[in-house]
Amino acid sequence: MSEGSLAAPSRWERMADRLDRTAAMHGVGEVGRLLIGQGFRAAMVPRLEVIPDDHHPNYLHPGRTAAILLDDVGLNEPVALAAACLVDTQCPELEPSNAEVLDRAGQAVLDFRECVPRPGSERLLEDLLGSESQVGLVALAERLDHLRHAHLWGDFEAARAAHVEGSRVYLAMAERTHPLLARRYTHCCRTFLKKYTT
Amino acid sequence: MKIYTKTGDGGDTGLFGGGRVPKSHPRVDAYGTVDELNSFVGLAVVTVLDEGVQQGLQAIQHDLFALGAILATAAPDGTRPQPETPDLPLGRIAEMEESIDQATAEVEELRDFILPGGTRGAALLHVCRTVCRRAERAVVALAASEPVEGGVVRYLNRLSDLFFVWARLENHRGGEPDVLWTKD
Repeated sequence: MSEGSLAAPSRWERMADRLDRTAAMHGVGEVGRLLIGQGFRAAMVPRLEVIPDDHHPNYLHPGRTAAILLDDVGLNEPVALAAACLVDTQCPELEPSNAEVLDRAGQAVLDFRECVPRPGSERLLEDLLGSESQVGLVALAERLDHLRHAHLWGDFEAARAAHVEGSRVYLAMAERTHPLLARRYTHCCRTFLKKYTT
Repeated sequence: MKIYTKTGDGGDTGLFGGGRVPKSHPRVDAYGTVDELNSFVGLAVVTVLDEGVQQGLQAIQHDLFALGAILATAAPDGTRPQPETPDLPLGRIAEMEESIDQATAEVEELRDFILPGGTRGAALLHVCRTVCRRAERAVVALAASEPVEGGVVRYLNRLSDLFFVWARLENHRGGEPDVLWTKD
């Protein structure tokens, strides 16, 4: 929103404010918050172009992923949080290009994003377990946000496959690494798996 | 057709199927509160932004109308035939439970008390929740003196839980955090 405008801030602008406030609450300094904001804004650019409905489940995905990491995981590392905003394992076409990430958020964020394991691989659990711990947490948070909205995708088979993989791989990873994320995965899988397997 | 009948000017009202009771009667309080709830649900329908919640609310409006008709029917006293009332939508209870589970899995885990608020739609869903609780209390009060179908209380109890999670869902899908209660 431009300065002095009377228009109410859009949902993504409010999410940007929320992330900034939450990050400050978790001890992230001004420079770090700036980087997180840059990551989030870069993630919103392709979304604003192709998602006209601001209630679309993917519209605020980058911000929600960062919010899970801040609120549930307690992760306050700006590079990881900025990179988390720039990963979209369900709609990779919505991810800003490497050049855009480099331009808006820098090499460290780009390098971090490159390390995040993607779903669909036979070796996914091994890759997740072998990841550096912050990378693993970002992968878990990002996928959790997709899984809890899978029933809104409108593609039953894709949602079913995602939940099967979620309970087989991501839940297993969460159980080994973060108790709260494990609880959230357990709850999510228990709720939705019965919908897709009965 | 004139909307006013003047028959209630003396402070009493006719029940469905016959019989008149004072407007302060627990039965009138019960179905009147359900009617009030339905009005707030109507307001919520045109206020919430989430399409799924909106559709769910519309289904509930039909349920509440049926529930109001059931409650507005005089208890059988053996002197007049019982009128035909709509069936209580008990099947909806299982649907509501599934919706509650799904919404709970979707929103952030609840670790603090929350205050009614967030988006306009969420705040209104909290109003629906509290009016629903009042309707439930009114039905329980009625049941102390007259027979009431057991499913009515179960339906209202589950419905207020659903309003609570839908309020959170409306905030969540709109990117608004819950408003947390703080001691200070």
